[in-house]
Amino acid sequence: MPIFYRGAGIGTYWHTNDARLNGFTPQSPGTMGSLSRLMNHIARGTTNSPFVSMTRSYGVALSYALLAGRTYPTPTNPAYVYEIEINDPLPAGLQLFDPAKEVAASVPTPLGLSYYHDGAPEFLLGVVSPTRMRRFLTAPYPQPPPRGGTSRPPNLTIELETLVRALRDAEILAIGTIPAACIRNRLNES
Amino acid sequence: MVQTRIIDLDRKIPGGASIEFLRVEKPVGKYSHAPFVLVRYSLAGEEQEYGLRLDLDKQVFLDHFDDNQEKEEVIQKAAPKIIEVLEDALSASR
Repeated sequence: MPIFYRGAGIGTYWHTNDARLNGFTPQSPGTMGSLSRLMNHIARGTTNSPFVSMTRSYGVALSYALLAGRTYPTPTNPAYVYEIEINDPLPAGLQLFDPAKEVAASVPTPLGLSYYHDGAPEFLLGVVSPTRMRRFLTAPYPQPPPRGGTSRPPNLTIELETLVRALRDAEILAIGTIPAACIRNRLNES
Repeated sequence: MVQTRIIDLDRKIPGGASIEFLRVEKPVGKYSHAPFVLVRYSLAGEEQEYGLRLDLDKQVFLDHFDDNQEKEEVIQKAAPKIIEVLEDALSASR
């Protein structure tokens, strides 16, 4: 019985609206899902999409609940973490996507360009944490001799950003409604 | 309970469409490495009960003014500037 989680900080939609009553629905249910929309949802924080985000990690959901609310919770006004159980076969109309697999599958062969960067190994640290490790993100890409090309930061594609952000959040996306019957619990956290 | 450090934005961030950015609330202690901060703002001079969530890794606000394009543009343009002010404040205190 696979368990997924979703954090709901104070003032967010799923804090105000109890998903145990009607399940989780996407913000734009009529919109078609596509790789481009998936990447924008994850890497750019576009919520006006057909996807519902969940995580396999309680810790990630807890972090969203406590720290990504529109105000901070207290014992008398707690944030919530939803526990969601989704079994095979999936409920009618529901599809689940592993973003990392979707991005990887979009690269036909290693001859194409996708999530590859051309920076030093530590470039990835800058992608993971652009606020704390900006210097790695913006350091000029190392060029082969005679090193005469224009200096620029390494290539950062939305594919790489999507992979990194999806891994950060242990994120799984759903298209369709996650029925109320799948929501096993709503835990208070503060 | 989440403890926070306040970073006053002190009119350093251009507002607009009746939005003024007031301060950033950044979790500290065991949550100091979390990638989220809360940006407090006012609308037409009145501080709002709920702030705007800013994801420091994605460098975007997680909240949107879906029904007001002008306000939406103001906050999205402000996001990188707010992060810059935050980085300066944090590096000055290290």
